[in-house]
Amino acid sequence: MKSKLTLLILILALSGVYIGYRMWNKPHLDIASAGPAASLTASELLAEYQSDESAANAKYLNKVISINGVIEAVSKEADQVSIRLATEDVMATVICNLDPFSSHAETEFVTGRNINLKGVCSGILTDVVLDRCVVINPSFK
Amino acid sequence: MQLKPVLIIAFLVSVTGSLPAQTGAGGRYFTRGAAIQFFSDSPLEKIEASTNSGNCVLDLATGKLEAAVLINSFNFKKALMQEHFNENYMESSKFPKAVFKGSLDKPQELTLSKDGTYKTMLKGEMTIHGITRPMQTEVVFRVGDGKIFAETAFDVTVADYGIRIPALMRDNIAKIVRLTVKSELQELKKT
Repeated sequence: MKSKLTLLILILALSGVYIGYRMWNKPHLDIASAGPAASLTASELLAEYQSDESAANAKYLNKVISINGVIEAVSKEADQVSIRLATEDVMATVICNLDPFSSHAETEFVTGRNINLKGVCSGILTDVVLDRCVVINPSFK
Repeated sequence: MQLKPVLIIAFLVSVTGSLPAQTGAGGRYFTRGAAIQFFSDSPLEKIEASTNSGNCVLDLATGKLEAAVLINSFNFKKALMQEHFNENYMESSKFPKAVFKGSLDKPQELTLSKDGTYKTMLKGEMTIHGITRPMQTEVVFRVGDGKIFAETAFDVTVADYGIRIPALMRDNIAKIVRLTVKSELQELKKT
């Protein structure tokens, strides 16, 4: 009787540890398989943010969105690749920071190319920023 | 005759826009890619996060400086930490950005057109988590090879900004976190 009880407690404790361990090591959101909450162009997203920031935040902040645009510039700093998408506003862009937790088929991008990315919207400073981006239409060489 | 004022403004804009870039003191500098790192060092745990999308604008003529960063753009190694940081502590959906507004001491001594290292104090107000507090820090400018780098590091007392850490986590999260900011500044040229 007593040994059964000990066994039960042991199983409970072990499963507790396991659940705790899984929660602690919870993986980052898998952007590639997340369905986007919205799909729009870089110009549209920027325009929405510029006309009403809080309304745009209510719609997009912390959500995975899919974005289309033309690459204006690419920068790489300490493994962080940032792609700027051109918009109709010459002073502002949509910055897409590639996800450091995903593997990317390509990390070199040419400017002027059309690209479709998916990422989590972080809001606007001068530019609208999307973090944890993945490329949806990798170009095949 | 509604057109007239518009034409005058257009003329003024085209004239001022075509003036040569300012020389000597003055000029505006900016970055949209400042690297900001965050360190919390507590007895139980070291927590680090970083972002590369800090913004900063500096007007050298007046010494005025403004900087901002999106809270949600900080990346943590552990997804759980990033989630807690955004949802429980910083409440990034309510307060999506942290903003600093202030000015540099003696901006006239900063000749960013000349190579060298310049140190100056930056004083102003920091808004984090919807709460604004005064703060100051030393900024180091390094100019060389046609590039301008600015760096600073400062401490933020978490409780000052109304960020509550539950008793259970008190030994995991530092009461004072260290922030470092590094960025390359570009001169803002009017085109």
